[in-house]
Amino acid sequence: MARVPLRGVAAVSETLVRGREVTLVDLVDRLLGGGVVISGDITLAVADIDLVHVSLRALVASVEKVAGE
Amino acid sequence: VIYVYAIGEHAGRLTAFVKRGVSGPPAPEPATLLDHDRVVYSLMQRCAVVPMRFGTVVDDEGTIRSLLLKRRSELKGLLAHVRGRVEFGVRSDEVAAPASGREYMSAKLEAKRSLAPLAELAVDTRVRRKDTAYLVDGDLVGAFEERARSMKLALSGPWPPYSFTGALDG
Repeated sequence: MARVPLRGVAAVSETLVRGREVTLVDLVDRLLGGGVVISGDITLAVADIDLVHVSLRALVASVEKVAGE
Repeated sequence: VIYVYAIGEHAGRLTAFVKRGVSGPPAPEPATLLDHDRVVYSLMQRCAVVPMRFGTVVDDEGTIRSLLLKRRSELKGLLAHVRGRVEFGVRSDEVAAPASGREYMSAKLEAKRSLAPLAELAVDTRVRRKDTAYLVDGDLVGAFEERARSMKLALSGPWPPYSFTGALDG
């Protein structure tokens, strides 16, 4: 995977997500250096596995509502 | 294309959490990074999730279905490892230009020793480039935070288990 230069990150030194200690520096480090990486060709036939499309907007909204209650 | 946030288990089945209709991989900017984190963190409160690397897009649903099918046992293993657990980070002190390899090693060892009380409350540990990541059981989060406080360590998190995933070779 090609390295994508970061833009606009240096300008923001710290961003707090409600209820969590989350700085942008740590976020960048984790998101660009962690997580599952897919590599190689994927060439298998479709089978009986669910691909559930949760409405992410609704999900995030409902979770925030719960958190805010 | 389709943006893939995470893979998880939804109603007992392997599930990809995706956003349809994106134009391509997002640029890594504060807003897009925060979006990814916010969504994955929200998902984590509902079910076990294995986050995807930021910026993962696939051409079509067939691709992601194939990935789930082909890597089912690995993914299930990863999910079992992170279920009910969250990640915390502790920044490492910079080892200031060591005079020798020996000095460097002893500084590293000392750092590891000093963090051992934290590590014993975690089920897994990853030494990362700039910090050490701990995978902590939900039940032990309070105790973990308390111990970090008593050790005067600044924690980051809780995070989805970004540091406890691996590469899935196609």
